Amino acid sequence: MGYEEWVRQQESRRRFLQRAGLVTLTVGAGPTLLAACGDDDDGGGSASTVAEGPAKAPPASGRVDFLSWEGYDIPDPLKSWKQKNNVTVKATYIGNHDEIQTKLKAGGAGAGYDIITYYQGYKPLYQELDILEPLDEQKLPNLKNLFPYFASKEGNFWIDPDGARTGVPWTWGSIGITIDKRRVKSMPTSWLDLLEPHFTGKVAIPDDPVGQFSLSAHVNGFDPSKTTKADGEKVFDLLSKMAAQSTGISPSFGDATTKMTAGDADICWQGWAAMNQFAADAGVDTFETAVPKEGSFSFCDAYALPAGADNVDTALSWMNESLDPKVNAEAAVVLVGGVTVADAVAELPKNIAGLYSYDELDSLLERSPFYNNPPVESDEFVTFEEVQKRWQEIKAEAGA
Amino acid sequence: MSAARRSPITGAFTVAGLIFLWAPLLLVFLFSLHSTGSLTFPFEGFSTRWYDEVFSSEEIRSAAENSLIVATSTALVTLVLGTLAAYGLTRSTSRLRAPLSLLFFLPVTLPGLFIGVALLVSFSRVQFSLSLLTVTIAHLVYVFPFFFLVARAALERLDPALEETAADLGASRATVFRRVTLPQVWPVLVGAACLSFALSFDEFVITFFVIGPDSTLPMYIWSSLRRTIDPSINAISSLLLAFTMLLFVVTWLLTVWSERRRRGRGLAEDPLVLTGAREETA
Amino acid sequence: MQRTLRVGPLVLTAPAVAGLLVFFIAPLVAFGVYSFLTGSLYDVKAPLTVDNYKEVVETDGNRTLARNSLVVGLLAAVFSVLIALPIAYWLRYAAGRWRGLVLFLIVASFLASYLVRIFAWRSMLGRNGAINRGLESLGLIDNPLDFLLYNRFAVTVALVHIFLPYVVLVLYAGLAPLQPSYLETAEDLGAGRLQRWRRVVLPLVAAPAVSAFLFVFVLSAADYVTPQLLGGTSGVMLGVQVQVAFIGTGDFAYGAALAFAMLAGFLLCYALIALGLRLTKLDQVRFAA
Repeated sequence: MGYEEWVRQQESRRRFLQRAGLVTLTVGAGPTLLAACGDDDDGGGSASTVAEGPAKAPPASGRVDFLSWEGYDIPDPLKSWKQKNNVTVKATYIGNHDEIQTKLKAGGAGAGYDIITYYQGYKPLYQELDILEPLDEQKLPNLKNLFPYFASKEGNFWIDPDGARTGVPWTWGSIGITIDKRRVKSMPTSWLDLLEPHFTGKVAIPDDPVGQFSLSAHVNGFDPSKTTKADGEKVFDLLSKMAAQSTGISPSFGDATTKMTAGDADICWQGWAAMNQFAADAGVDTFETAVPKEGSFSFCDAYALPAGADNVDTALSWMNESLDPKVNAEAAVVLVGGVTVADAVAELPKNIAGLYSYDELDSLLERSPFYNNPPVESDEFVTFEEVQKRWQEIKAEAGA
Repeated sequence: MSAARRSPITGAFTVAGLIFLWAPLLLVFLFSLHSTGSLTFPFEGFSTRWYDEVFSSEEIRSAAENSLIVATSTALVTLVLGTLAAYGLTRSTSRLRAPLSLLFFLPVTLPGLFIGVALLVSFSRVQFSLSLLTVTIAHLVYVFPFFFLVARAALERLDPALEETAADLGASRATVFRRVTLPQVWPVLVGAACLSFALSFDEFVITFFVIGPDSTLPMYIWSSLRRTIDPSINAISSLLLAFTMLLFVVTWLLTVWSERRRRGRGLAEDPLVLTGAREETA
Repeated sequence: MQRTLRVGPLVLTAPAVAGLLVFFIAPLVAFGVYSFLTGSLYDVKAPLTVDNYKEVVETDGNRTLARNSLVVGLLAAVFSVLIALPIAYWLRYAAGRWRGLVLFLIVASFLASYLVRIFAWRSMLGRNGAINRGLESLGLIDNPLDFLLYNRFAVTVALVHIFLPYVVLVLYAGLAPLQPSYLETAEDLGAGRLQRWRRVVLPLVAAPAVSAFLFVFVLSAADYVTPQLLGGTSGVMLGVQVQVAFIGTGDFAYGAALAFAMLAGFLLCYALIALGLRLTKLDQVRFAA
């Protein structure tokens, strides 16, 4: 039989055993078979069958195929890990979160990606699409470093009700208003300030339908995963108004940043602190991001194992490494974001540590919560598909 | 060479056209030498840092390599299949010629969007993983009509008497092709293959849909647009443009040289003759 | 001895035919079938339906986008041809020694990267771009012109920039059979410049001009990159929706229906133009060399 079919058999066997409450098998035997077939993607690894003994990170080697946002492959923080283990990373960057599931579904089994990330709200969708593999906690000893919130089952973002782990949260942040101080003298205190006439034609908006919906829902006082159809109209209405204020929807955060550094936009709806760094890299250090009085939503990205990954052990080792306090801190500096590891806070330089009040994490997350995505199917609430389609319409009508 | 007629209006259009075409490209080159990361004025100063970055980037090198592999494969396969197809078609009197010609021409009429998505859908349906192979296949479909049109035009222009004479003298069809046809048209075919190479190297619209984990240079550029763009893109583009221009000049010189060597053919130095347009009689 | 080669040589086309059938025709057919299935989260399900087409037609946004695509496509095609024609004429008849160089420059610009040249227009048209800076430094304007970028104008300009070299070459090839001596003869016989154009030059380039026009129109109207980078809010076009349906919303059936609806639109244009050519007998203009 072909290797792909073999992997599929292993996966369905593993899933069956999981549901029967037994231990999680690894596909450790797989890479060994691969090596026998002469493949160069060698993940080594053992086939441990019992949850016994202390957790230990698996050996890493070979090539890892990464699929996610640029920067999330944290090349510099991982540099020593890569050198020590002789790992090369082949990265494919996305401009839009939805590209992840599209590439995984369309690529067929063995699409070739070994590690992806997902925004916490996307978990239910990804589970329905069956593209996430459970993670063997025995191979992720650094999980113990996580803040209690991120280690918990709260929100079900990273751990299933039955205990299977699907994600390793390693970076997070809150959305805010991003301004270019060269032209915007003072930071607006409310999201609705962006509707003012002096911002007409100067608002940058990244093309992120779910993010846009979540933000607008939050500003209107709703939970985006539980917005009734009627309330949804108010949410879309605010988005229409905001789109009309823009210079055009940018295909990416980078593009929104470029519009601002070039002077074609002054302020960003659904901004991100990392944009400050993007702009600084381009020689413009006048960006500032802040969360206005209504709060906003927070995003947490977790590493995950896509279905069909072949270099599983190296991917797990990567995930484990990202929870090392030093690496976690370095990643936060590079991405101008938050750390998920308690001990990493001490490693942060002041300006990054000051971004989020780690000792008041709970109240911060109340103001800017981690939301779930709109549901895949629902008669009562606005669905994921509806959000996508209405967003396209808003984009089309924005200039009309 | 005909005497030039004076035509100030069309001359003005030509000048304006050239400025229009080259101004943005020169701007790209200018900013590739920018000392800061900005792509808009004011222009702060000159620096070669972006070229240094391009040459030292593993990612760019890998993407360029992949583009090279795909473009070369595309050009070679198109050369073989396209020449065979054009030769077969032009040397046949079958009624199937017209529909087949249409088939070969069809991909040009469809925007890349359709070709890309249709292939994506098909590959995913049969669970054929996306990779450089799928990209090459897509490029072949896209590039084929261009090559075919040029090859067909060149083959049609040939004097059939030469081939018929050779055949009458007992040469097999293969020998006729090898020793009579090919020596006459190979420059055009090589030129068309170079065109195929260039088209494939820069292809983005279709590649976007069928690409797997290995990136090509245009895809790398697109994904750089995701982040704040910096002048390394300009550096890549300037290098690419220089490279392709050089490729074309070399091909053209090669062609002209080979034509001059063969006595009895007074081809004008008009590059357009390479594409099979009517010869210009002096 | 006359030797008519029969189906024999046609066999040589087999590999190319096979390749195109498998990788071009079949995918398009599959794609067409998709448009009649039911879309579901990055895949399609069995029940056959025309709902997708209904949705395409009923979605208000699509009307705006179709209009934008049509307008941009037409403008790009019209301007490409209008600008290319005098250039082709100059190259053919007035270029003299400069022909080789100018042709080279035109072809060379054709070779520049598609993505980068689109992006280059931002540096030209933006608030801090070359044009605004130039006009400001000449004292012609006080504040930067806002209407140059992030709209249909920018998209059209970039598309013309992309396709102009191609159209120039096509028209130049079209003029090839028309010897300068014929134009001189016409002039000697008393035909003024306008008449020479109308009765000699234009009928000859009509067919290649029309095919170039169609080419530019279709490819411009379906472009999905230029509108995203330069279109702003008013320059959004239909091609983007197809891309989004496959990469974003995941409704493959709808995306397929949209793509085929676009295709139907293009075929209609082809048919109309072909009919127009036939009616005006312009497709029969030949020139004896």
